[in-house]
Amino acid sequence: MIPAIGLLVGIVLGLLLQPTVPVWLQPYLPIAVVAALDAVFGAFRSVLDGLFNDRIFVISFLSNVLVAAVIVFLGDQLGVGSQMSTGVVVVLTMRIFANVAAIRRHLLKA
Amino acid sequence: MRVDASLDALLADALASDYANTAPNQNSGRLRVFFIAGAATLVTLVLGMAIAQTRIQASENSLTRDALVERVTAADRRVQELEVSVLTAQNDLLNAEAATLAGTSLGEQARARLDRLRLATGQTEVTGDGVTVTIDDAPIDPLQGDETPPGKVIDRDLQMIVNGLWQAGATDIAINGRRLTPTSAIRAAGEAILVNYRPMSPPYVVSAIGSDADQLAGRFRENPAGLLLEELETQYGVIWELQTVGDITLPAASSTSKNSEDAP
Repeated sequence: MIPAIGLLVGIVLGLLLQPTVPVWLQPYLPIAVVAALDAVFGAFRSVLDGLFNDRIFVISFLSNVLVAAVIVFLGDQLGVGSQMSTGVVVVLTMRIFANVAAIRRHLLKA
Repeated sequence: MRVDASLDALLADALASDYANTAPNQNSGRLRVFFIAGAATLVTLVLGMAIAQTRIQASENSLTRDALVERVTAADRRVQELEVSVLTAQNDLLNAEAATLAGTSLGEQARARLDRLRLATGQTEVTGDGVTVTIDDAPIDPLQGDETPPGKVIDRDLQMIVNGLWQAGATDIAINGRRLTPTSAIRAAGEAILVNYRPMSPPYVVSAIGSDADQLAGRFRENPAGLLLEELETQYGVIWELQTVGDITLPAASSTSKNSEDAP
């Protein structure tokens, strides 16, 4: 229950405080968004699987954001930044789909 | 075969759950719950920031646009004010002229000549029977994409109509209430049609005064402009209408058309 409230509090804080994202960080925001969604769905799935582990929740989110950001940064330096972002978004979105499929199987048995 | 099953098999390695091969938390202490809550807050904070960022961006964009629109309308108002002051000045000039020329026979002659010239150059308001040609873009085909649709009325169509009306015997013509003079220009600037360097928006109403409205309409239908309109309608779906109207009033040309050679 408290973690679920945490989810809501996070969104509300982001909306209300409107922290300004520095310009150099802005290309990474979409990546972070998709990684965050992936972390949320992955956690939900693992709760249903009975495998949830808070350490992994935090570490997987942080490392996903970090790796995605590094890939995009590398792409920027090599002049293929937007293509790299596309690749990252595709992979993370596929993970979201896989997680949602597992959640669906758990909840709807279909 | 279940599609998502084959997808899962294909992606098994790359997309394996982060939680595979791990043990769940055994102890669920109070501290741990808050740790998870904090982590969850952090994760969704990113989402909230992204939403906020998008909104800020959107409001900044609309602010810029609003400021530009405000400036355009202010400039438009200024132009209107200036036009009014020009018209009053012209009126004063006419009165002064009439006062000066009255009385002498030479003055009367000059005045008759001036009146004739003013009529020919569109410097006075005229009223009479005539026709209106209304033309509008073809309805936009949603399948066409956002390229310029072929059924859009272009400057050349308006030029043809105006020339056709002159040819059919019109003595005075105005487009959307803008009087045409011998120095008027109908041109295109990007998507817009400019008449006397003022942008016009469809539907375009071309009003013409002639000595015989019915004859004017009949001749217009048969000359190249009328035939072009028929063609535009059948080929591109352009909407147009020719009407004879009694007693239309065309305004005097504004000063902007007199100085059209100097305009940018």
